[in-house]
Amino acid sequence: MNQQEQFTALYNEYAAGIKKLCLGYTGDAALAQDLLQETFIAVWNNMQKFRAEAKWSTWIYRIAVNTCLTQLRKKKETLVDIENSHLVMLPDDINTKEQEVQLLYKCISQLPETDRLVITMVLEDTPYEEIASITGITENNLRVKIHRIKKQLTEIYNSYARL
Amino acid sequence: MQDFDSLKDMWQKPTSAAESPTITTINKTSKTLKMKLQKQQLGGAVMLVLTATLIAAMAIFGGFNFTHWYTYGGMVLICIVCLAQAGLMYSLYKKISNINETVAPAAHLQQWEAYYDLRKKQNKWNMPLYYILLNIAMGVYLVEIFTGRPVLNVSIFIGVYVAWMLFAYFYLGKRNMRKEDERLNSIVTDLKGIESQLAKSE
Repeated sequence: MNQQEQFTALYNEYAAGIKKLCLGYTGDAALAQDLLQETFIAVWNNMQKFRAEAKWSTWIYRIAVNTCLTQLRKKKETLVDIENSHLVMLPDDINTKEQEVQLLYKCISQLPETDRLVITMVLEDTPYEEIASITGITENNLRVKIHRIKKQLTEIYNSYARL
Repeated sequence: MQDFDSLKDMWQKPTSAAESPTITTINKTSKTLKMKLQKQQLGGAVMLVLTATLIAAMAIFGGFNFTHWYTYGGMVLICIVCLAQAGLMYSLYKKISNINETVAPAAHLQQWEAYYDLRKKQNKWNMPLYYILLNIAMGVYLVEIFTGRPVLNVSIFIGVYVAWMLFAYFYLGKRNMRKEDERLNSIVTDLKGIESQLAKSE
């Protein structure tokens, strides 16, 4: 398999998951699309460096996490402010699944940067061991972190849903 | 009242916002933050090399027939200053290129932090030194050019030149340096903040 074919296969397999990771991070579909593209440009540029010491998924998600975290400076001002966005209108018509999911994305985007990425991977059912390997956080610390983030996210979501 | 498992069920249902993107869109973009910074440094370095080449070509093939060696010396000094600045910009370009996106986030953030720390340090001495050397070179070059010219014309030229240089350095330059310094400080603070998020467990 040449590099182009390998890249296409990786893109087809992981792009949807990375897009959701980026959506969780930014809470905005357009920004998520930008981050997805930047991630896969980095994947293409670094494919020769892949030494199979980690799984492809771990390697690609690590690039995505790094891309999200370093794009923060550029995108910080444009990250969605839940209190000032149209979401404050949602409680009246939060009757569709699509809107519930949109609210969930926005709630995730209220968490601290690294927490957003961790919880998005948890929501995707990524094994803790792999999340630890992607983020470089020890598994014990990660478990504590995840417990706290789950609680925090549920509280944020419920506080908006109650309005 | 939703619990976390309900949120997970909600997340895992397909939605339009998370639709699988098609690969055709990926090839159209080439503007990552890293690439932009690389382009900025490499573009600047290339422009300075071209400037130095143009000045050197003028000195060699321009047929100016200057009588004093130091006039050519001034042109050579301008070339050296431009090439030195180009070298500095190229070294920054290489530093950005060497940032590895495939390592763990903490190590990745530290690489960016090191880059921005270097930029902060360079900002303190680079612009003043560049201005001083460039103006010394211009001064040396202009000595012969001004010899024998009417004093009034020379005075007007020097007055306008010095005024512009002082304005460019003390107003425009200082303002840009302050802005750049604030920007770099804010970036480094952000990076440190994210690093500390990664480090703490609760």
